[in-house]
Amino acid sequence: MEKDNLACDILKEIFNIGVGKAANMLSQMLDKKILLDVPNIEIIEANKTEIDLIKYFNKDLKGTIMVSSISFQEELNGEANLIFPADKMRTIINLCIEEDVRYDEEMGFTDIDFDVIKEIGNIILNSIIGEIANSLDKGLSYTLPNIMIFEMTDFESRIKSMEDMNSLLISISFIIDQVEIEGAVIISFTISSIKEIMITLNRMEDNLYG
Amino acid sequence: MDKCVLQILDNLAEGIVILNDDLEVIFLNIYMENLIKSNKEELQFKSIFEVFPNFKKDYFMNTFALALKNGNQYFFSSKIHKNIISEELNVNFKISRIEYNGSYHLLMEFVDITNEFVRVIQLKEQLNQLSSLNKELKTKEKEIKRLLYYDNHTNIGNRTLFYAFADKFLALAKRKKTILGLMFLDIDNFKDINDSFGHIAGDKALVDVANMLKLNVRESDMVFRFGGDEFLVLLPNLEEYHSYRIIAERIKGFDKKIKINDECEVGVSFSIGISFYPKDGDNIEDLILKADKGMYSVKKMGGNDCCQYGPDKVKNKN
Repeated sequence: MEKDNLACDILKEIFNIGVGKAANMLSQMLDKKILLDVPNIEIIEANKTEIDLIKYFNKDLKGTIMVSSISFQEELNGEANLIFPADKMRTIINLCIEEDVRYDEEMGFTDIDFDVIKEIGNIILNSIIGEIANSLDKGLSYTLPNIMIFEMTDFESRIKSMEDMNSLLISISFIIDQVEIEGAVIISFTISSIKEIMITLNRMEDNLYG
Repeated sequence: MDKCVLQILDNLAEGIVILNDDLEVIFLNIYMENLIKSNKEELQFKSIFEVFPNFKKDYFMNTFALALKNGNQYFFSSKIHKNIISEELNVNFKISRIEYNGSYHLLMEFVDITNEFVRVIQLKEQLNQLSSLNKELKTKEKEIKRLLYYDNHTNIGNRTLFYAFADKFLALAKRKKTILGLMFLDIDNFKDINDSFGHIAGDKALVDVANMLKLNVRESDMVFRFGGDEFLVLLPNLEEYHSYRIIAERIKGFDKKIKINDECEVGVSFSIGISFYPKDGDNIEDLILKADKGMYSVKKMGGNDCCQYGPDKVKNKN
């Protein structure tokens, strides 16, 4: 159990470094103070029939959500999803672009908005997956994100339908210009990939204790 | 570069720029030449920062370095990175690493979305117009509702609103077994006001009377203009049949002096008839008819009084 906790702590640290780098890049790009934090991570095992993602995450993460999704392959295989409530995504876009947005909310999302989300998702997911690859010394290649809109319950079903995947659920707080927005990252690994990660983490622990 | 690959790149409907690991331009496709109105010979081996000075930012320098080092792909949106290659163009662009002749290069893909921006601006303008139109329609709808249910002149409920409320109050009285009173008021000698002072003065008198009536009934009572100089008051939840007297006394007793102009005031009085559910009928038409008869009985007796409907027509004269 303690060993698992330590592995979890190491993973959390890796994610924190990843999101830290993403925050740094976003701050540079937008010239604003941006903080990203990983308050919590959970592991959901494959074939878990009842998944209640809302239980794991902040209560704001319900209803319509916007998902940036990338697939990665080579030494580890799976997909990573960055999730924000759709209405909060509008806040993020508005904070990023600083324009007159009087009618944007009535218009819904345009393709141009989706491009902004794609760029933000690319930076955050790139940094997290890149940090996993670097820290665990695994070669990975990955795509640019696809942007999708889901109802939370449909997204839960989608995660549930990935039969041979274990998922890491990472809560993420996005603070831009003192506005805090709660989101999540769900990284689904194949069972063989998660085994590979655990072996590598155990090796790291062993090295840690000599 | 292979001739076939060059042909493919030149036939793409997006701008392609290839940089070597010193970030110098080694290739531009035809689409990109047209986009920036320049040719590849002019730009060959020029630094990307010289060709597009807006890339000279720490952020881009870091991403170029990371893309070359780790092979990460980066996507940049036109909305965040405005005017990156020219003032007139809105482009999304992507950077990925490619391997060529044993060294890493960067492939930059530029997609012109200027027309999308124009379209979004047009849509926003249309939305703006629709929003204004919607506000206008809502205001008109409100006005239509007001004209439908309220007397345009006195601004109290009209006949239509009276029937809507009367039905509701009567249904409630039946369900709760309570007394509903209906008062029929007619201004005494109203014709004289019109004849002596003109219709404008008569109209003003009607407005003042409506306002005075509203002030002198209970909060739960409702005053309506039935037509001409006739008013109706619904009195729900009367404790006893004679409870109406307090209200009738108040109407009789209030200062009914109406200022016609700076020099002239006239006093008004009412002939009032009243009927009740359940005593006088179980439908609104009967109640109106009987209150009207009560009102005429008072009128015949000289006005300025109130009486209940009854077989002798002047029963319980107040």
